[in-house]
Amino acid sequence: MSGHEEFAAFVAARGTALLRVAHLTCGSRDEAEDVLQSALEKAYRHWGRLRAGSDPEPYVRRIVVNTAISRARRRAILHVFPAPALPETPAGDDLTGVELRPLLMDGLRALPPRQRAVLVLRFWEDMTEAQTAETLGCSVGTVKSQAAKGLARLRALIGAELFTEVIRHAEA
Amino acid sequence: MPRLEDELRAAMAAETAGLGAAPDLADRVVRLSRRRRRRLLTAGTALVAAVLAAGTVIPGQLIGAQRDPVAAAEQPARADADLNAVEDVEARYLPAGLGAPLAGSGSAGKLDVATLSWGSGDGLVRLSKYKKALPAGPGRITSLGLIPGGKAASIRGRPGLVSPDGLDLLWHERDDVVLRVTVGADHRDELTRIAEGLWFPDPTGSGGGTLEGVRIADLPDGVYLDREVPASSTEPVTRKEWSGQGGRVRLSVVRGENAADLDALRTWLERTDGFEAVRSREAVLRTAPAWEGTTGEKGWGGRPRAVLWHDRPGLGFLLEVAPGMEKALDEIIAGLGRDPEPDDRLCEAPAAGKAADVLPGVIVPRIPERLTAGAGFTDLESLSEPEKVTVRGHGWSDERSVEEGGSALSVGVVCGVATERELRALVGHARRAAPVRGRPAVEWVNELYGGGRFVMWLERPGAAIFVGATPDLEAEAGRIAEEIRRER
Repeated sequence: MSGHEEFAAFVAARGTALLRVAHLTCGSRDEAEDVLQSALEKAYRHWGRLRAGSDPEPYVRRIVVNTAISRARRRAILHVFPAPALPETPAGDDLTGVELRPLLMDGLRALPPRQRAVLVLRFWEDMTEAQTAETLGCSVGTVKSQAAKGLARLRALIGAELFTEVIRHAEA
Repeated sequence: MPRLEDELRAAMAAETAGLGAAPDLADRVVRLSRRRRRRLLTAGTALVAAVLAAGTVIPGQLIGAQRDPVAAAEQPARADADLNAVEDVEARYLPAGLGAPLAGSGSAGKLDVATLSWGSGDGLVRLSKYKKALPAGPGRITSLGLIPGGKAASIRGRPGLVSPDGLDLLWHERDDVVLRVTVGADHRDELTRIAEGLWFPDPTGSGGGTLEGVRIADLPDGVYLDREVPASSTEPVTRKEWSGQGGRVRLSVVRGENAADLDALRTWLERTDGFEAVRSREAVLRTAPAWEGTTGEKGWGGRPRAVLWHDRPGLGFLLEVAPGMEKALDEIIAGLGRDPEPDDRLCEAPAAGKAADVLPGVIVPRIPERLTAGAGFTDLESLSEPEKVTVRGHGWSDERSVEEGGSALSVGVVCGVATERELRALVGHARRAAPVRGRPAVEWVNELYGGGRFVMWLERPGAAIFVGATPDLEAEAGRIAEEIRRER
């Protein structure tokens, strides 16, 4: 199989999974498609250097995530990340886990780029702290602290009481 | 009980369930990549790095001493034969509009050769790298016979030959490497410029790179890496040498009992390198006792000026420069750093449990009382390439947001920046600022701080410190920048 065919086969098999990571890391579908395309271009330029038989996905995923973080930071210079407006009135007792999800995604989008990436890699990609650190090029300690802070900010954003209420509903 | 993490997973799954990559994504990427590469290669004055990768030798196809010795072996350059290949040659200047290159490799007489060429006839531009089996001694560039009737030339201080028609230039870049630029008549005026932009980047870093844990951040302009010679049984010294039209510099490392202490080091260098002490001098790298003098090395246009210093038991250094470069000697020494420096905590990870809310190794002076401490942060949005460095910062603010006219101030450390040049590249829109406590600095306007000024300086090779604030706190930020100190 030629390098081009290998690349095409890889994109066909893993393109959607990588698009999902890009979407969660940068927060919008349009941006995600652009980030993925840009990351794949970088990967394609170095495709010949990837060791034969090795899995290119971690390498490409690393480019996707770091490209998304870089872009989000640049965008933040133009407009400070707008924290999504949370409901003015407390949610009612009948809020369910399904209704909580948009709030969580809004909260995720409001996090700083690297914090958001840590949560995506840890809880969407199910990476270990060490794998996450390697992907982001930072220490395990940073991953731990960023994950803890990200989750804390999500809890604060959705409101501890609201979350407890939702969980109670989910268990009922 | 379901945890927040589980709810987050479910939310992510719901959010991305409808996503799918476009069926033509791979084809689109390949097309764009090729188009972009063509644009890159014709970018003219932009920094264009063309790699002469040493390829597989194709015996018998090439004949030396001809204008186009490798044409028969040329193939389109590999799509990935581009930037940053360690130990390869980079072209910093190529004429505009050259199109896609052809790569070739083979042998010319006793030499291996690799080429990259664009166009043909009057539009030709060819870069060639010859290596191995060079005859030794003066006149060796002529004895190669590659440019018959060539006249002596000099490229960045390297000896060379130029053809009588001014279209072919060959020079001795290193002990085992000869470089050559061949052009057609259309590019005659650019021959020298192309050649002067063709050299080996130092794989250990910018400036003078590193040697045995010492980072050489400031080399004089116009000197280029010649070679690094590892210690051997006959020469128990590791040496790194630079030369060019800017002069000549050599750093040597002595290990073992010959560097047991300062006296042993000096005695040994007196015997082996003809060191003659003139006077003792202030400590190098803050703590290493040192002597200044000359050495007896021949071929430097006089006795080289030298400084030796004893770093620790079993490790000593000797820095030599050509006569007349005394000022450069002091500047090189002032720019030396340890890589990484073991004796400060600037780039240490925060202690477990303290996360990013602390700034290890930095003593921050008094902060205006009306500000309260906020959270630590690990992002500095102004950075052009944040993935290359790590950031740890701390912020203070009053009760209002910046958008509401509030005050904010930040202090932090950026780790992974070694030289002044890297410092200047950290923030794309930054400009050079007045030095902070004698250290090189840049400044920029940060819109996230209401258009306030940020200043960042190279505290030591490897770490920069920044201070920034909203416009109302500019004077306070300036005071903090002057008073901030490293914890030792």
